[in-house]
Amino acid sequence: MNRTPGQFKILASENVADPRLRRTFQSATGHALGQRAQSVQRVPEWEDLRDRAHRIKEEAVEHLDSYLEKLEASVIRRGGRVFWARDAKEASRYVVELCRRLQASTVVKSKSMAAEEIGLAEALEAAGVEPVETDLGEFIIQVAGETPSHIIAPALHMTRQQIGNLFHEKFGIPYTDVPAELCAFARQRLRRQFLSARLGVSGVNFAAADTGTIVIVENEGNARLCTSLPRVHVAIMGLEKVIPRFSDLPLFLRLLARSSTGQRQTSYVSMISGPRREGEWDGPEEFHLVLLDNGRSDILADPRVRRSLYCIRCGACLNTCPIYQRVGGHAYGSVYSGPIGSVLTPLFQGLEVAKDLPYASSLCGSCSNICPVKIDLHHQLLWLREKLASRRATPWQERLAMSLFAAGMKDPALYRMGSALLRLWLKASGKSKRPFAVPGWSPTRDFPALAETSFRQWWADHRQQGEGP
Amino acid sequence: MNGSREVVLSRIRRALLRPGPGHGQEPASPSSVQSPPGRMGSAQLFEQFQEQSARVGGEPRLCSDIEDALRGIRDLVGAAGYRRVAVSNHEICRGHNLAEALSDLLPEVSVWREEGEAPTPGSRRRNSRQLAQADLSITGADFLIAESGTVLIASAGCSRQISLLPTAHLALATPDQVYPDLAAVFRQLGTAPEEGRLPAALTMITGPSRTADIEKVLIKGAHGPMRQLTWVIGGEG
Repeated sequence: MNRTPGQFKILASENVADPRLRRTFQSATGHALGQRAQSVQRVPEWEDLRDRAHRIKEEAVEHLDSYLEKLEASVIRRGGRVFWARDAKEASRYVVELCRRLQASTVVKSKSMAAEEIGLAEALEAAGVEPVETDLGEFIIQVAGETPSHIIAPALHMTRQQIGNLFHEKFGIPYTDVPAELCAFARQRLRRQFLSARLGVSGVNFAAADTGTIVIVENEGNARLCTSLPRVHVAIMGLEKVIPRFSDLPLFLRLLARSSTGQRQTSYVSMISGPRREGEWDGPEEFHLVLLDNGRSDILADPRVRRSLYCIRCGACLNTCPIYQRVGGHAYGSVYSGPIGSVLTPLFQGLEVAKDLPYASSLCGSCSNICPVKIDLHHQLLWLREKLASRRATPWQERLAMSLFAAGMKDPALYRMGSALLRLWLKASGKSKRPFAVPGWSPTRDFPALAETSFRQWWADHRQQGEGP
Repeated sequence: MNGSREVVLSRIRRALLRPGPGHGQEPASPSSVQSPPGRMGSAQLFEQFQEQSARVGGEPRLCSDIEDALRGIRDLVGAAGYRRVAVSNHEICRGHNLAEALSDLLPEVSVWREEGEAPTPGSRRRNSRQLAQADLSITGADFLIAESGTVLIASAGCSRQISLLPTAHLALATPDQVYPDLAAVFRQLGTAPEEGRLPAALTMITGPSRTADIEKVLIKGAHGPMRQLTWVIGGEG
């Protein structure tokens, strides 16, 4: 996805002005948070689990090279193949080549952020292969020609009436806005695709280095279909999805389902170790694992943001973010939205092109508090802001104001003089509500009301009266 | 293996030369959330399984013996009007001669047993098509997890599709298969890499297939079964 630097602000204000969209996101995120809170409450050792998960992710990321080599060896030992892709193009090309070899005209796809990130669907289409999204939400937005608005619920922004109209127009079925009927139609239509496709593509939630097992977590069953019916299964994973041991899985599975949907366990968890074995009735003949770098090694190179690679894509930080709750996923203009998106997108696409995203946060820290692997998200956002400021990517007015502020804060005499002058001017001009016209700020915000006396004055008065400490 | 392997690995190694945020800390100890073994008897474990499975829309039940289970299947098929039943090759089904017993018990229903040995590409395709048309499938379970109401099935015992394609799925289990949590199952399964006992696919099933992708409305039966039943045979029911 290509973006322009000011895109977030424009899209965000459009979305904020749409009352229906705001209601949708507020209620959906609120519902998800409620479910999560209920299920987390029943795990008294929750904080301990978060700590442990953080440490394990840290171990994996700090020794990423050796765990990836171990994973590769384990997958090969189980009869699978491993492809290292340095960027999106290489990864897509590998899947396209596989389609050519299999003479596959369609590919069934289950939800994969990595596939989304590399634009796999577009690459397949360009090569004349039809990518079929099979997750219900992804299917709906593929038919609508849109992009996901939430990591877990991609079609969150659409109403049942919109979906009903869409299916009626695109597939010629009688109009219905009953969710169960819409779902049944998609199920039936996609079944045919599953039974005929030669290639299935999936994402990966976790990959255990010691056993070469990839784990896919889902509720619908489409990932199970994608990985058990077609002759060939390709799993695409970002490098950071590797975990050291198969025995770490119970911990991560407990954290993931509860954090994303509040479930104790999702309907299905598939743990796949290589292609089908001798004598088994089904499962793919070939299993391919694509290890995707695509900017991850650059993130790794900056220790201040390295922790963003611990992310297990649960979506909890989106739900809890006051900004995301109001603007929705599309405003972020990227596969990854919400606080984690505001960290990852500038790192993946370049700080300058996504320079508005580190500011799409109130720095309240709710994201860091909810993160099941304890990523210090709001600190990372602050660090990205610092980087932007040091590159002079912020407006000159802001830089001027900030350097005046910095000078004043460092020198008590200057501070006293500055605040006295400011008070005088604010009182004299009568413009205490909007003293400065700052584009993008002052039209929608009032300046805080001026206190009767300055704090210094108040302090001095009260000390004399003996009320001070 | 390909040319980018070395490029990616050397990028990673270069990046890791800079010490990370938790530099100098103890490495994480091998986890796996421990639960004290033998905390509960099998009856209590099944009770917990039953509660959790029902909570997510599963249909757990305790059957006194195989006769009781067969009567249960007859009632289930009759009540739902199922016409086609697929029976897996899992050892629990084989051990009870389930396919034959059901053919006798339900003459009006087509009972189809998943084919046995030496599958060919042709028989595999036939298998998928048959399963896609089945109303009910009956398989064994390899493990049950009490904490989450989960059924685990290994690909070595029966096909992956039989618990996935039909409209309803019934897993038959025995009381000794109920474990407190996933970590306990892993210990029993022997998942250590050197043991090499991990099947090609280990599937955890918790309740029916579901989606909430349209306006967060919960719908059962998105791509997989709309009903998920787990019956434990031979319990003190």
